[in-house]
Amino acid sequence: MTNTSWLPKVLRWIFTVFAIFMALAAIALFVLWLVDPKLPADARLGPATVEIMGQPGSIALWNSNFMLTALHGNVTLGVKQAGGLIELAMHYGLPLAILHVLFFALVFDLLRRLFRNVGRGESFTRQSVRLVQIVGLSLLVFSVVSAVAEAWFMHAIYNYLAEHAAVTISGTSLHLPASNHVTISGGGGSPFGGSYFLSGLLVLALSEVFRQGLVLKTESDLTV
Amino acid sequence: MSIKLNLDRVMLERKVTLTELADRIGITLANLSILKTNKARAIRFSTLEALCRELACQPGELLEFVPGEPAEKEED
Repeated sequence: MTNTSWLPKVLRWIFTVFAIFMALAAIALFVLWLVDPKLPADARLGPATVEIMGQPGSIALWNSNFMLTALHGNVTLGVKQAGGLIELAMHYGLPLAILHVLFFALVFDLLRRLFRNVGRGESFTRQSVRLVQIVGLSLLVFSVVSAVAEAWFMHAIYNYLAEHAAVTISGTSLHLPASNHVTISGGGGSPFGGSYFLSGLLVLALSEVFRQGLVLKTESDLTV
Repeated sequence: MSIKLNLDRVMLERKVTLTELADRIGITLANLSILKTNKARAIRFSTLEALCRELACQPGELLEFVPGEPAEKEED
C-alpha cells in the first residue's frame, strides 16, 4: 500500500533534525565534560530572574560567590567561593545531561526510522512493530533511570549546600540539616509516575495495536 | 493447514503454465505462486471460480482435506 500523506514525510524530517541536534548536543556536553573548565575567580553572572515555589526570585554569581534570593527577598541562600558548587553541578549534572540527550537522540532516531517505514506504506511490518515496542520500553526504562539519576544529583547538591551554604529566612540564619538518604520521586506527586513512564505505557499499548495490525495484514496478504 | 490446494497437479494435467494461468484469471504471478505452494490462508470465491473456469474443473478437484496436518500459527 502506498501512502500519499505528507505527514509521515514531515515527521521523518523533523525527527531527523532533532536526532542530529541531540547527537551534536551529546558530543558538545561530552567535550565539556572532558575539558572540565574551571570558574574564573572574578566570574560574574546574573542576576537572572527565576521562579522559585511559584514566586519570582533571582540567582547571581558575583566574584565567585553564589546568591539565590526567593520570596521577595525574604529567603536568601549564599555560597562563598562557589567554584566547588559549580564543579559539583558539572561532575554530577553533566553525566545526567549527557544521559538525557543520548536518550532523546535514540528515541528521535527510532521515530525517524518508524516514520520512514510509515511513509513507504510499511506501517504494519515486523520492523515497525519492533520500533514502536523499543520506543515504549526505552521510555519506561528511562523514566526509572532518570528518576534515580536526578535524585542522586539533587542529593549531592543538597549535601553540598547543607555544608557550605548560608541560608537566611527573614533575616534569621538557618542551618540546613545534612541529608543521609536519597528520595527518588520520578512522578512529581502523580500516582502514575513521571510523564515518561505514562508515555512509555501508552506507546507500549500502541505497539500491541501495531502487532494486531500486522496479524491482520498478514491474513489479508495471504488471502488470494 | 489441513486444506490443500492441488493446483500444481491440475495444472500439470491441463498442461498450463503458471504465467499463462495468472494472465487468464487476472491475478498476479506472486499470488498464484502463494496458492500453488499452499501458503495461502484463504481463497476468495471469485478466485476459485476463475480457477475452475479456466482449468475446466470442479472445486473438489482443486481442494483436498488432509487430516492430521497441523494448523498454521495465527501470529505473524
